[in-house]
Amino acid sequence: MELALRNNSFGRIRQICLAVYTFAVQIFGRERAETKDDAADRYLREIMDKHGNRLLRLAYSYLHNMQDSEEILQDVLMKLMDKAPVFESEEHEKAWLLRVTANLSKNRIEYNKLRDTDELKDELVAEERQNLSFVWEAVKELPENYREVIHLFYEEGYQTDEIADILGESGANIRTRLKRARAKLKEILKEEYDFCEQV
Amino acid sequence: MSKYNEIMERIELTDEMRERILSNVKAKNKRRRISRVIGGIASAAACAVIVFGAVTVMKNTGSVRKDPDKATIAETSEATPPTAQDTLTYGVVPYSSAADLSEKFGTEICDIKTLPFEIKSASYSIMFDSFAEVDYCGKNGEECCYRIGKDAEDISGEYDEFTSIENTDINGITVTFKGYDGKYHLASWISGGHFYSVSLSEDMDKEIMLRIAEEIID
Repeated sequence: MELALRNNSFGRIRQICLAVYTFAVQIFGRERAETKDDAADRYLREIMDKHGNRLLRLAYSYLHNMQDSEEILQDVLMKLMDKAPVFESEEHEKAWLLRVTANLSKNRIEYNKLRDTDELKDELVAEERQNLSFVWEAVKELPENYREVIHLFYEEGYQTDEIADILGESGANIRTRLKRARAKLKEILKEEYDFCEQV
Repeated sequence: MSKYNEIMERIELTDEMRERILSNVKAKNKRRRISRVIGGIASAAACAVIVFGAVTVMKNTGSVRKDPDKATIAETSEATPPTAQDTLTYGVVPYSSAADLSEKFGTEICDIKTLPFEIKSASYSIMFDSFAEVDYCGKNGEECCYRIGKDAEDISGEYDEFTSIENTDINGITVTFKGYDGKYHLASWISGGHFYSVSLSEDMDKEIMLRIAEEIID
């Protein structure tokens, strides 16, 4: 009888402990999930503060459309969350983001129909900045693989070997493309040509 | 500053764009998490059905061995092993082999032999009475989910926006490969009025996905 009573009390204590444990797991589990979401949100904001403009500009240099470029930036961030790569340095982080942006933009050109609106061109025309409009049109006329080299060299300030690393190609190949792109721009732009010639 | 830099300075990430992007990324992540949870629940349900079936069978075998003469009619009826349909819980009916699954589903389903990993285990089931599913687990945690729909509706369960999509013709059937960055983890096609999909846990070279699709179509 006494034994049965003791067993019964022990069972109750065990039930109470289990209930407290389950409750604690629910509370702390939820808090941990919220903290994780907050951390992800903070990280993405930080990435956008540091690299948002450069990624958007690189995407625009391929796609010539703000909405498509914005979607690429969104996909890059999704990729960043999925892969969660470990970066050795700020430079490594920047190069990784640029590489993913370039790859996603090229894929979009290949497989998706792009929107026609070129907001940048419209803006330059509206402001009657003919000289800039002329340069933009000339760059747009270049083949895609010339444009990416021009952008990374002149806008991002990368050297040809660094561009080669980002795009996964040889330095010699990049130098040849840069040379040809400049020649083509010089031919179109004539006196408007102002791309610095150093390699 | 060159004119090109001046042009590029006009492209700026506005606060409005930033918030839009963040909310889209969050929403997409949430959707992914939900689909992962649903997948987990489905797997857990499948496991529960298997365990329940196994326990029932073991219990019945045990009771027959213990005292076969004393089994009453009621006990005998209780001891009848449930059929696959009887154990249908949460819409998942497990089967023991591809042949068994083929017979119940009414479409020929064979095990895939060209998977890019060594198979540790395979499970066969009919899900929600609408598609057959074969799940393979590899020795190093690799996974493959092979589905065949009752009709031509997309039952791949993968509805993300892929960055790499490519169509290839195999024996007159258009097979679509989907993935990211020039690699693919999903192959899908429609054949004989059924939707087929093969989804791997990792993105692979197109050749690997092509080999799998060719094996199934052939």
